Amino acid sequence: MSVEQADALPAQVAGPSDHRLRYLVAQVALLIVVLGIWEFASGRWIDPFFISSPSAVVARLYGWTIDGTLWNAFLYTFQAMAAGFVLGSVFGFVVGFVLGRSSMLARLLDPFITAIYCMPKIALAPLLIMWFGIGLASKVAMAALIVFFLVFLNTFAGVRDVQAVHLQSVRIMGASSWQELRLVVIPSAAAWVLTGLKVSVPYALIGAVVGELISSNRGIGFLIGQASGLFDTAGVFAGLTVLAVTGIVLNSLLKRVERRALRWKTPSP
Amino acid sequence: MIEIKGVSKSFAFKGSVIQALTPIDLVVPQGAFVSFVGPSGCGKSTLLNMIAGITAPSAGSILQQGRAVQGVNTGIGYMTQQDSLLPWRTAAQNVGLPLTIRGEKRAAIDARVAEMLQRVGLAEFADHFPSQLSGGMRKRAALAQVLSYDPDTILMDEPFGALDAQLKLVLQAQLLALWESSRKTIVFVTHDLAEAILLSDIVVVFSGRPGRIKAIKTIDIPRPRDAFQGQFTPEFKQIYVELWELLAPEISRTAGMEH
Repeated sequence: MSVEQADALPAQVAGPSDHRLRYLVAQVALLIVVLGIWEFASGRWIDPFFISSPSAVVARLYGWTIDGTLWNAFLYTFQAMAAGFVLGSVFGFVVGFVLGRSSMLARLLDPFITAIYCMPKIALAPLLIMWFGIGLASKVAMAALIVFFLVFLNTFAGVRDVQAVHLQSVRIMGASSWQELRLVVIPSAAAWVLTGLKVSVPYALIGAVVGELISSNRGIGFLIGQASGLFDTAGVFAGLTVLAVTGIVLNSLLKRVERRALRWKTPSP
Repeated sequence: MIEIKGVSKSFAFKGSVIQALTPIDLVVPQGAFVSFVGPSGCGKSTLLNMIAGITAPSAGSILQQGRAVQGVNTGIGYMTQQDSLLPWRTAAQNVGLPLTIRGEKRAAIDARVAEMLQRVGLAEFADHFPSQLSGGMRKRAALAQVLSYDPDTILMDEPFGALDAQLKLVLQAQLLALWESSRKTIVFVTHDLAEAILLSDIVVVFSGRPGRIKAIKTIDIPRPRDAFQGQFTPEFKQIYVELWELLAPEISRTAGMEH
């Protein structure tokens, strides 16, 4: 794609992946050191009641895996997250797009949107539980609400960010208003929308877990809440580990999608 | 042919009305290369935008091929001063954009795009995105784009303004060659008098704000012209001196107003 690539010798191609491997090794080493210190400190310097220990956490995760607790809880949380993400993004995109195209509507609704945006969404959780019950629906609503605003704001900004010179130039080439949307507005906003989607994923997870923490009888959030109620520190850390791993995996998937879709943004070095 | 009849433009600014362009009458003959030169703020770009139908005149009318320009003028090609290539499309996709908009067949577009990229020397960069091209390459891609759908009139607003002097010469040479083989009507806005004389059949000199036409000079230097050597001929020098004497007081007047 780039000049560099065309000129690159086979020997140089190994360069970047070599670096990646080196960093990966260093990262794994760092993780082992931190876990080692944690394991060592537990029971020697700090009461395991507060910090548990990696081995206890692994044992707990193993136990949960064997009896199916982990998979059920994960599936439940993941469902809430995914449904909330899809719902919130679709609404966020549509509303953001419409308001982005209509300055009148945007101006009219601006104070209301700002008010709801500034409100900590988590404070709405009790209301959502009243409306949707303690089941899956309230968690989906929580996740969707948070995602909605992120995707909405990014889509809105993206549609607003369309360069006048690009619109003008396709108009002069004879583009219809549909072609204008398809050839300029949508691709131009896509970068913003993708960024919105990317930052939304961890927030969808937050929404689902917060909903479960406040009131639920299933899911990872529930497991964490329950373990904490029983002063089971290992259980709390086990739940957190699952969330952290889920977050990392989703994020790296999204990064890949983004890189592919936004190839045009990377200038050749 | 473009006929500009009594066209003027004024803007409202902070409660007062600013006259950008006093009524102008001008005819751009079919197949002529016409340049507008003048100090910045003289309304030459505004006039170009009015021909393109992006800006509406405050008074008067513009006819292109006998039809009044109302709303965006799709009968022209416009190469803007700003980069107008779509950053998410490759060079080839950008060059083919006007053809895509016209709904032409994929194979026809591909063939035309390949030909145009070849002509501006960008064949190897077809799959590069604008961010991966140099400033000069982007200008060449924009030129290929505007030529790809063969509009009979092309407007160019300081297309080479931001480029270094050597690159400018190369692109001027390319434009000369392309124009001399196609003989389209071109309206070319520049603040570079030498560029205007080198390229044009007719140079229109504008006064400073409020803009009006100070002189219309026919450049009868024979073609084909040489972009690299053309500036050293006696006839070029003579025209340059003559027009510079008209332009210089306007530029110093404009510069004085700005301080």
